[in-house]
Amino acid sequence: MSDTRAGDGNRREPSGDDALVSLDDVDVHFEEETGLFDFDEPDVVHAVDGVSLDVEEKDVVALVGESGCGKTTLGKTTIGLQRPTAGTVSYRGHDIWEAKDGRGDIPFEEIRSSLQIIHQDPGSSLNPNQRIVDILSEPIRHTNPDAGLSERRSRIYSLLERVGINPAGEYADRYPHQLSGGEKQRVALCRALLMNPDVILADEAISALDVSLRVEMMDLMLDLQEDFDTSYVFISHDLSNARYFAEHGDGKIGVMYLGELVEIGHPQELINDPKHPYTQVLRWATPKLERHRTEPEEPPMRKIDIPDPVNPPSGCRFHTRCPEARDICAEETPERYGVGERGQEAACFRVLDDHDYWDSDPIED
Amino acid sequence: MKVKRTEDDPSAETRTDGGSGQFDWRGETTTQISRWDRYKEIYEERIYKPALVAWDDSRTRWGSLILLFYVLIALVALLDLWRFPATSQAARWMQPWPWGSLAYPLGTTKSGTDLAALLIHSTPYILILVTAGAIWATGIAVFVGTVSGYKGGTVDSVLMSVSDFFMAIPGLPLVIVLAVAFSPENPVFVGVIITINYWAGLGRSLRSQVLTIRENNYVEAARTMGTSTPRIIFKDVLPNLMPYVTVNAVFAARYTIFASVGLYFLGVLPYKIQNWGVTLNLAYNSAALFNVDYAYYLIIPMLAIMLLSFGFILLGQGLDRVFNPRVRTRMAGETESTVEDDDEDTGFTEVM
Amino acid sequence: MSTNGSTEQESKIRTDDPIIEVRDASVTYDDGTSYVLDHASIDVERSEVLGVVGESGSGKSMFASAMMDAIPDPGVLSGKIVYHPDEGEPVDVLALDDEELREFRWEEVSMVFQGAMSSFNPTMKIEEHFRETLKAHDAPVEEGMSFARELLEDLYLDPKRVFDVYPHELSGGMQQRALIALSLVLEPEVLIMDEPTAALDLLMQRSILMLLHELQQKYNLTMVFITHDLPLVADLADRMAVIYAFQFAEVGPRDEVVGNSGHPYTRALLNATPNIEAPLEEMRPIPGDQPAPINVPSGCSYHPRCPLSTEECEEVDPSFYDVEGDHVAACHHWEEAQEEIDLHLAGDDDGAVASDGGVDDE
Repeated sequence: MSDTRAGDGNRREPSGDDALVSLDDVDVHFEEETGLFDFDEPDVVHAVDGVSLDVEEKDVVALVGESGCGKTTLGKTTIGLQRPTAGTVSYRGHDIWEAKDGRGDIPFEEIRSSLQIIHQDPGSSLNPNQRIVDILSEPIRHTNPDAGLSERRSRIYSLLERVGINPAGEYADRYPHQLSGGEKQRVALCRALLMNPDVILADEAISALDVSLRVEMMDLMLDLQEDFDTSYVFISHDLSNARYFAEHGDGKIGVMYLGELVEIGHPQELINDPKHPYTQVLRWATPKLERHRTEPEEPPMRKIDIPDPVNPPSGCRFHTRCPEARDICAEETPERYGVGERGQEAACFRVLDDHDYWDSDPIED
Repeated sequence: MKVKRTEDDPSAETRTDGGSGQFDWRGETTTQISRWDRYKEIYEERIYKPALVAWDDSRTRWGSLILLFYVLIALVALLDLWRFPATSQAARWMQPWPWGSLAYPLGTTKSGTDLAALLIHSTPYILILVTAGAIWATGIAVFVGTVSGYKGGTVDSVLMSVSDFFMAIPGLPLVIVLAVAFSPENPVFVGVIITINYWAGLGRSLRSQVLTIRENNYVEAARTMGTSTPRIIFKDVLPNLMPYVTVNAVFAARYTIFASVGLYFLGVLPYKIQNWGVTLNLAYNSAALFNVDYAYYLIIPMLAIMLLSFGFILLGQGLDRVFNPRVRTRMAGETESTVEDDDEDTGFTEVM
Repeated sequence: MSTNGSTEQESKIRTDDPIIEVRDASVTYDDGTSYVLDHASIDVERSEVLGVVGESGSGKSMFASAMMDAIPDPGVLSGKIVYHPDEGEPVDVLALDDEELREFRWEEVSMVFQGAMSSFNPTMKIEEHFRETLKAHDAPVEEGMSFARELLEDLYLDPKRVFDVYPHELSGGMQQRALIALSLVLEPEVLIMDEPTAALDLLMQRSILMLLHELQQKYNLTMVFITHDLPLVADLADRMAVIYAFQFAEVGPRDEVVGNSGHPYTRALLNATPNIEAPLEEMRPIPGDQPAPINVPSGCSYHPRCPLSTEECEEVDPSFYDVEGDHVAACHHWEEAQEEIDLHLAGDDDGAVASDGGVDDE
C-alpha cells in the first residue's frame, strides 16, 4: 500500500518506482481573467493546495468531498489533463509535464494513453453523431493502429459482451441516443479500457445513474480491473458509494476540503473511526437507512455554507466550521499526521498527543 | 475482497488471458463480419441513410428538384440546345406565351432579344458565381471559426482580430471598389469578391458554437486518448456543427445571388449581356416598370432569381435533418431504447 | 392496470385526516394506449411528511405535477383529486377553473422543483421574486416580505444579503433554500418537492433535510417529498410510498416500509442501495430494466424481474393487500417476499428473518 511517514505530513519524497502516479506537493490555482479596465488584483481560486498522493498498481483511490473542494481538479491533475501551477506529477517516476514539453525520458504519447477518464454525464460523454462501433474504434486506432477492420470489430464485440451489452452486433450499430444511461456509461468504460490504461479517472461516473444501477456499474468496474490491470481514481460526493468501491477494491478513501487532502485511509478505518472532524461531518451527512427512524441530528459543524475558495480561511481551513476548533487552528496549518499502522493520515492537531492545540482556547463565534 | 457474482457473469467463455491487458481480440465472438458486409456498411451509413433521411423531407425533395431544374437549364445552355440571345432575332416586345408565340415562350425585349435565351444562357454563369461565393464564404468561416474556437489563446485572438478588421470594413463599398478596380469577368472571381468579408460575421458565430461543443465531455475524452487536434475537429466538432453550417451556407448563397444581381443592376460589375441582373437593369431602363404590357420583362427575371433562392432555402432546411442522428435512425426504421431519455434522473453535483 | 376504486381498496388507502386524496389519477399522452401514471391512488395525511420513492422513469414526477393539475400538454390527466382545507368545503382540484387553480397553486399547495436555477428569473433580484409573487396573489406585501425574511433566516440565509443579489450569484445550495422560502411565502398548507436536493452535494442535502424538518414542525406543513434516493427521504418521512412502473407498489409508515416491506421491488431496492453501514456482500443490483409506458408487462408490472413471480402474477395485476395496520403492498406474494428476500440494514447484526441467505436469480 502507500508509503507512510508519521508526522511528516504533506512534504514527502516521491516514492520512486513503486507508485504508478505520484503527486508531490501539487498546487492548482486558477486566476480570474481580468478585463482591460480591471485594476484590482485578479481573484485566485485555490482549487488544489499542497496535495501529495500516490496511486499504486491495481489500486483504488476514492476522493470524496463537497462541491468546490477540488476533487475533480485533483483527479484531472492525476491523469495529466490539468497542469499544476506548482509541484510535480509523475508517471512511473517520469515527470508528466516535462515529457509534454519535450524534455522527458519517455514520449508523452505513452503517458497520455495510459491515463484515461470516464465522465459523469453519460449524455455528453459520447459523440452523438457517431455510432458505438465508431466511438470504440478510436481507442483501438491509438493502441493497435495496424488492426484491420474485422479485428477491430471482433475486439469491440468481445468487450461489449463482457460488459453485459448483448447482442453486441446490434448495439454496435446504434447511436448514443438509442442507449440508456447505464448502457452509455458502460460504453464509456469500454472506450477507456480499450486504451489499455494504467489509471482510469471515474469522475462521478455513477452519480447520474439510477440508484439500483450504481452497484452494478461499480461491480463491473472492479471486475474488469482484474483483466485490464488498471487502477481507478474514483471521485464521488457520496460517501457510501466511495466506501463500496474502495472497500471492494481494497483501496483507500481520500477526503478533500477546500483544495486540501485532509484525511486518507482505508475505508473501514476512515468510516468507523474518522480522525478529522470534517470526515465526521461527511459521515453525519450520509444517510444510513436504519430500521427505525431516528431524529435528524444537528450537524457537527458550526456553519452550513462553505467558505469562498478565493479566500480560504487561514491556518486549518476547516476552523471556521469545526466544532473542535481552537485559536491555534486559525494560526497554524496542520500537516497530514499518521495514525495507526495501516497508513491512515489526518490533517488535524487532535491526532497528536502533544501539541499546543490542547493548551489553546476554543474559538468563540 | 473482490466481488464475484458468478451467477451474473454473462460471458465467462470469452475470458481473456488477463494480466497483460491484451484483450483476446482473436477470441470467440458471436458475430463475424466479412469484407463485403463492410463495404455495404459504409455505403449504408455514409450514403444511403443520409439520403433516405434527406429525401423523406418534402422540403429537400422540392429544393433539390428546383436546383436540379436550374442545373438542367445550365446544361441546356452549355450544350447549345437553345439559341443564343441576339438583338433583333425576333419582333420587339413580344408577349410571353400564351399571349405570344411558343417559339419565344418568355417573350422578347425592347431590342427584340429572346428573353428565354437571355435567362437560359446566364444560368451557368450565375450558378458558378453563387456556388463559388457560398463555398468561399462558408469555407473560410468554418476554418476560422473552428480553429479559433477550438484552439483559443493567441491563435484565437489573432484570427478574431483579423475577422473584426474585415467585419469593420463596410461591405458594399468595399465590393464596389474591388469590382471597379478589378473588373472581374470570371464568375468564380466575382463570387469571391462579393463575399469578400461575409465570412467574418459567420466565422464569429461559428466560433461561439465551437466554444460550446468544445466543452462536451466527448471532446475531452478524445483529448485524453491523445487524438490529434485536426482529427478532433473533423470527427467531433464539425459533425455537430453541420446543421448550423448548412443553414448558413444557404444564407451565403442567397446573399451572393442578391448581391450579384444588385451589383449588376447598378452597373458596378462589368456589363455582360448574359446576366439576370443586367437583364433587370435593361428592363428597368426600358420603362417596363411603368407599362403593364412590358411588366413581364421585369417580372420574369425576378421570378427566376426568387425561385433559385427558394430552392436553396428548401434544400438547406431539408439537409439540416440529415445531420441529426435521431432523425437518421428513426427514418431507417430502427427502434429506440425503451428508456425515455428525457425522464432520466440527473443526480448532478456541482463539481469544480 | 389496477383499479383501486372498490370500497375494499378504498378502505386500505384511506387515512384518518387526509389533506389531499388522490383516486385513480392517470396521465396519458395518446388517448389511453399507454399511461405515464396509471390509476394511482393515495391519501396524503394532514401535517405528515410523505416520501414518494421511485427511480427515473417510474412516473413520480408525473404524480407530483398531477397533484397540482400541472400536467403539460398534450398529456391528459383523469381521475379525482380532492383537497381538504382546514376550514371550508373540500375542493375538487381537477374541476377548478384557471383563476381558482392559480389561487390554489402557491396559496394552498406549493411546489419546489429540482434545479433551483431554472425556477428563478435570471434578470430579477431575489427580492423582486418575493414581491412579484406576493403581488400576483394579492397578498399584503410588507407583511409578506417580513415573513419572507423570517423564512430565509430559518433556512440559515441572511435576508439582507440574499434579497439584493441575482439568482446566479448564489451557490446551488443557497438557491435551493431561497426557492423553498419563496414557495412558503404565501403560507401554503402543503409543500410538494420533486427531487429538491438532487443537484446538491451531500452536506447541503443533509442540511436542507434538517431545515425542512424544522420548518415542518414550526409551520405545521404537510410535505410530499419525491425522490429516487430512498435512504435520503427515509430520515425525514412519516409515511413512505414506493412507485414502480407508474403505479404505487407499496404504501405505509416509514418504519414498516423500510424494515418490514412486503413488495419484492421495495426489498430489492433497499438491497441495491449502497449503504454505509450494511455489510458489503449483501448489496446487489436489480436485474432487468424498468418498463417504458408502451410496454408495461401484463398482470403485475414487476413480474419479469421478480424472483417470486408465478402465473397469477403474469395475469392478474395485484391491488393492495394489507400487510400490517396502515401498511399495504400491491403484491400477491408479499408474505413470501418478507420471508425469502433478506434485508440488510444498518444496525442488523444477524440479518433479518431468514430462510436462505438471499435470493439467487438463477
